[in-house]
Amino acid sequence: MSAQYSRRVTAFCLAVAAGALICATGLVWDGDSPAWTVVALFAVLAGFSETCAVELPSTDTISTGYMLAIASIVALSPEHSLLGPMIVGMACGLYPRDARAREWRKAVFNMANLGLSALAAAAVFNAFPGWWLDSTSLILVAASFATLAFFLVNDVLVATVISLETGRSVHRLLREFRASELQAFPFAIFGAFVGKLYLDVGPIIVPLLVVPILIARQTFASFVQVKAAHEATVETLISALEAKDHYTAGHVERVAVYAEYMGEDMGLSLPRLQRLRFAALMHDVGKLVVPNQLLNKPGKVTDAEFRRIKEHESVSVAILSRIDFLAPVATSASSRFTDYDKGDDKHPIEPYIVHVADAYDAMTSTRAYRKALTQEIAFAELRDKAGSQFHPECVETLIAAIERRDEHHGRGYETDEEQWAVPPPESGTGSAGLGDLEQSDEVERAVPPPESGTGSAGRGNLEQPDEKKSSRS
Amino acid sequence: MTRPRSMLFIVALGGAGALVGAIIDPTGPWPGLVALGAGVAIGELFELRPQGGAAIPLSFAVIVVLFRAATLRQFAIVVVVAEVVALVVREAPAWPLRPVLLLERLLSAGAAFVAVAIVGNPTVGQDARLRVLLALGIGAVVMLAVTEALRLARDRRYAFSVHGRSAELALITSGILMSIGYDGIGGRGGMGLWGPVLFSLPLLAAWYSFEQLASIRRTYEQTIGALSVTPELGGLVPRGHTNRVTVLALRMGHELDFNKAELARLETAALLHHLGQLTLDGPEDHTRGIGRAEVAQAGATMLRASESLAPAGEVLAASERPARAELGTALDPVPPITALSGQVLKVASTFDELSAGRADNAPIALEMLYSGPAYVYDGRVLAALETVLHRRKVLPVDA
Repeated sequence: MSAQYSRRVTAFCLAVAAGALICATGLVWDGDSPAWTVVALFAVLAGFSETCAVELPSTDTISTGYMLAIASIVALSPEHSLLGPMIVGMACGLYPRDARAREWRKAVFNMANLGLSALAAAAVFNAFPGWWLDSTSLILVAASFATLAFFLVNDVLVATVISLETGRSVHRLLREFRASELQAFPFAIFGAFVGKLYLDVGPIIVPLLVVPILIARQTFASFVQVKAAHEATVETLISALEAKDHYTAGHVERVAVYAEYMGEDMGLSLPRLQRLRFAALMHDVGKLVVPNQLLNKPGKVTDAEFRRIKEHESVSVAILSRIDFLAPVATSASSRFTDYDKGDDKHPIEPYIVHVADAYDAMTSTRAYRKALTQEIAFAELRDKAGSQFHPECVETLIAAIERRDEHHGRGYETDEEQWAVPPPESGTGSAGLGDLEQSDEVERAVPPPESGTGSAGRGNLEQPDEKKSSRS
Repeated sequence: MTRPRSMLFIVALGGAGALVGAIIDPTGPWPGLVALGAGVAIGELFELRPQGGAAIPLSFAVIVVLFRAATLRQFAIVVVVAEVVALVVREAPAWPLRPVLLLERLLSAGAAFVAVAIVGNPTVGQDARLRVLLALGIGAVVMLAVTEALRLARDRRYAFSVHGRSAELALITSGILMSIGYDGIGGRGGMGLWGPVLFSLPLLAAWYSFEQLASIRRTYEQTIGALSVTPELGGLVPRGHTNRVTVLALRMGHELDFNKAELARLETAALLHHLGQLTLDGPEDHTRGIGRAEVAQAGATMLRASESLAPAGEVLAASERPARAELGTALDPVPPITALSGQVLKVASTFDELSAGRADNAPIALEMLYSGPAYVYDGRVLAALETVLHRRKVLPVDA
């Protein structure tokens, strides 16, 4: 991993480390000699908190080290020590993950960065008069400024190193950090009051503080574990579905991505976004009960087969309804409830979102009954049916989201290379009941289009069979 | 009333009460006590819900603060008023149960205050650290113990365990921390109302974690449950089969002294033992079903693909393994407990198929299992099945 660091990154890490070293040496030279037992206690706690940090699946971690750094600033403030908080800050940079991976440059950078951040925070806090420590409100003010200084130094250094490594803009990275800083801020302030209580009451408060935090940490780690297990279970299910129905390969994941695009742009809250994602991932789950031969049947389906295929929608709804978390959006899996109903104000938006995402992916993917349409035709079809079949806002949001990301789907941009036993015809029926969608007049038809074909993504052959019509070639 | 509305109502009521208190006696303790009372009432709306344990309200931590902030009379007034307000605004339990809950809360808070008074008044003395901590700790423990005892008595259960008490520990330590934050020790460190507010943060973090865990666990279990009935919804398996097999397998597991982890593994395997059927196809004319071994194998393959479900996949794979090797053959090595779990699943599933889920078919189904070749079913597992059936009174006494 360390080999991936560019020279510029290495140089920057070394510069930060050198800066920290120079500051520490200067402080020692200046006679800064903090109460070493206090420093040792907070440094050990900070190091320990990093050991206990919860590693999220996203490779982020949740730790309380910075809180202890702020606590040490207050606990050591009567001596106006800057060196003590700096050492505690450096202890916060001891990520076990880095040591395990032998990423020494990263470890050195983290230690130096957090040491300098704590130093800046201590300098700000100590700039306030000592008598402020007697007032809870004034401590709050001083701690707020100190915390801001901590986050500012930390964010600038981290954003710079990431920028050097990835080429992303520092300004943009700083904006991205803002949300996590807002969450961390109360804990930092809390750390300041821990320091104050330590000053007044002594080390007896340490176990009282550590125990509930450790329990919270342990419980949260279990949460992360069960969440991962749940995600893995859903993934297993999707794999089973894809193994069963070849055309579905990658379909539900793409539908989930498009649904997320819309959900984010429509301002859905995080829990609703999570629910939307799972609803999209599981909207075809009922297909598991449809026999494989029927699901992959290349020709026309009989009435009985058609009914059997349609059954999957009610099974999907029944399955999703059994999960409290998904029950409110269980109708996302049924075409009876996803067609836009202008008069129904209470209809949840999620089924409409999934419907649009599903239809868009159906049109821009190659199926057994026709090749993928171009993105332009798919957009035109969505817009044409907006207000009657599709929710107009969802349609426009999806199109805007895709265009903003400069993404291209459909013919010529497909990622899945499905090997079809019978090559799909150039054109055929489109998304749910959209009728025959001509690719363009110029497209030469290698195979005549079928009379009927599968409808909306994952909904099976929605065109009623007609024995008198010629079957697909 | 929803929780946010209840909180708003309590805050408004508390604010008005504190204002009245401040007007009547500007230097008196009532504004602070009313604020703490509002904290107790709001704390009743938030509960730590540990897995398999009883819910504990966060109000207990605020009551620990009140031990030192109030005299007996003040304590009684604040707690009674706060609990009555909470009784009115809370969403659960149902109304008939609320007076019982109120009584439990008052009894436990009262007992705790008495315990604190017996240990000593911790506000007195300049070097009272140990006494303060001891008194607060004992008060908190008594409050939780009385609550637990009353709950067990109400539920007519008399089993008590000290295991899995992390929620209680978080509450006790946070309550003490909040109390010290409020009043300090030996005249130092008191931050007034800021103390309980600030030092409730670790407890709130614990509450949030418990809530998240309970929620995702429920979703996970419901997802497994929904998957388990999918073959039934598709008409591939008789209705109720999966549930009956799971219940029976778990009871047999108990009889065989399986530990908690092994029971959980067995439960998941039993719930999902027909999942493989969804990926397989029988003949197009549906003249015959799909072989059991094939279904188990396909299911095991699916489950093994997920790290969390892989242990259940092993049990499912082992369910198609005979108890012993036939003469002249050898079995793949499998950990004994996995083999036994597999046998339990195999026996439970076969029994349900033979009895078609009907109690009157149980004796003959058991007889058929016993009469099978000795290497197919494990004798210990059949004995466990027989014991379970006797307990459920579905076998004649002399069977």
